[in-house]
Amino acid sequence: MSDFDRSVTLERLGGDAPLLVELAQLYTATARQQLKAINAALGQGNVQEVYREAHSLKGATSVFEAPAAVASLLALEAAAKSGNHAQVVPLAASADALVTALIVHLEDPAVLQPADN
Amino acid sequence: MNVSHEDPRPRKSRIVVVDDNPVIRDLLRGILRHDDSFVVVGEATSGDTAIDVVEKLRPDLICLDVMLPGLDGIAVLRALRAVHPEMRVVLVTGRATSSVVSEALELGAAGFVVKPFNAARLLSTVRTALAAPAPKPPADCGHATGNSLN
Repeated sequence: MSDFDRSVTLERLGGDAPLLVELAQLYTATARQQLKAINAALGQGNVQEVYREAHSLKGATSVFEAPAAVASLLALEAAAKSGNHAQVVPLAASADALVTALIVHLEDPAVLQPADN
Repeated sequence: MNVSHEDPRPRKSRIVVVDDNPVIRDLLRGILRHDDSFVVVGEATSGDTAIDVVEKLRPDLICLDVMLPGLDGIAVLRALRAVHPEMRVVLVTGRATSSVVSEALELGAAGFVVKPFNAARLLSTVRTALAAPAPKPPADCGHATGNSLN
């Protein structure tokens, strides 16, 4: 289960509910690809690429109020930047789980609707 | 009787957004739509393509990510400032370190927005940047308005 907060996210978007839906659809498609890219880079031992992808994915994830997923990507980004492969592997697994949970959450149409509907 | 052929509608400020992540580009476009006086005329996904797009479209303002594939945002800002000092650049970054901020300000960045940002903050920063006098060219670049990067 993700800690996504719809109302805070919507407030950040100036109350633009259609934009929230549009961004969620784009995010769920692109974030999966970025998780795959992180795992592929890990498999190749390319920590620099892990850093680049984690940074980009963190930016996109921060569009949504989902503190745990953002924090996990921030930790992964920092470890990858320092080049510590041993730290990067478990942090990547944690980020993968939290971002996947957010993706699954955002793919549920009910999640993006107002709570009173 | 005088007949004016001028379009009575106020001219919209033309904006280019530059970010490698499609979600952030969509976010920027979506928020900028909230102000009718702005129009996003183009976008780019890397520093190198940003220079080409800006050269072609000559926008009034660029929302420019700092960490980009290829040329980073600071390098793009430096290149643009040398030939198009009149263009406003608002940097969008997830990591506003003091060195990045001071370098960007020295290069004439018109504003900073730190991710995650909200709609009000982005719109306010862009409006302020557009309302400010056109930036002056850096002393070491010479005045090169109208020159081309290509």
